[in-house]
Amino acid sequence: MDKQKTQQIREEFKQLESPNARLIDKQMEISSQISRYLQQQGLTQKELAQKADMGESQLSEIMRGEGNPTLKTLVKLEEALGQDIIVAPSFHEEQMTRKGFASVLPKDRAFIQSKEREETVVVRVGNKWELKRELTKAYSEEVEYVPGEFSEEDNNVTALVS
Amino acid sequence: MNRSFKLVEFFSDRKATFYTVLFDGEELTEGDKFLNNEQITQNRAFADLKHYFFNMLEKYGAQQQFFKHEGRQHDMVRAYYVRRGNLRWYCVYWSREMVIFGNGGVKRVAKTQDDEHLKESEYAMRWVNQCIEKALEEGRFSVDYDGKITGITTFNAEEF
Repeated sequence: MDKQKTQQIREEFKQLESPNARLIDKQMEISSQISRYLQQQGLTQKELAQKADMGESQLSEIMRGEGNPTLKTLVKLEEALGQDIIVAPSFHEEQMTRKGFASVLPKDRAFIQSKEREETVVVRVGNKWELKRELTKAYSEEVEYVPGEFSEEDNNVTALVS
Repeated sequence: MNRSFKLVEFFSDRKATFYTVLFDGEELTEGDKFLNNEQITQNRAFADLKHYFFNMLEKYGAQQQFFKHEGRQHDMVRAYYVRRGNLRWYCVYWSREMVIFGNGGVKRVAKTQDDEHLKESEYAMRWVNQCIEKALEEGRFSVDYDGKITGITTFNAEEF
């Protein structure tokens, strides 16, 4: 085997950049998401196409990661699967926090949220979770996280409402 | 096409390991021949193919739906293809974690059989598939959970 030539060919291939990279990422994400639901629900592509009232070839194109489905088509698939395929990150974040999951914001952001009468708040200070204070009114705010500058008055924490 | 060959690692990352085939007497593996074919490298979808390919390696694994069944019924011969550029890249599909890539080309005919190069590429992978299936039956070939071949990688034509 010509190792030098091989290395050169593979290196050139690695360097290629697709102008459609972001589109391809989304196409593959959607395909993978649907595929996961199909496995979970024991459905075939054909059955999903029937349930969603769409052509098998259209679904097949989406599943290959080459489709460019309209929002309407995605909603049809979501209804047929009873699951979300696409989510808007900020709304998803808010929903997850409301459900009691810790915030998954980037490092420099923090999120605090509470509802009226939900008074116990667990806050994260550095790597630790601490019971910090009670809130008595609805409260929801995204703030900047400044490491090392946390104090009782600051909002520079990620909060989980219990 | 019943020639001896070796399976050699092609590309590998977090989600999968891709192998390719080096036939006896050849300087380049089948996968490298594909990547070095001007007809393919000049194709408008070649950069897209690269992005799909590395996404499988790094993020999604080689999910079945990305491949098209091209061989005989019940065998593992598939084609990885990007429809936009009519690219066909023949392979032996083992699992989400492991695929063996061969050669391929641009499909400009209705039937693969009408294109000598594509036909040869597909039949080469049928031969590789046949050898692997035999080695598998004999307990000489296996693949671990992260897609690495743990059995034999050299296949002598006389034995198969």
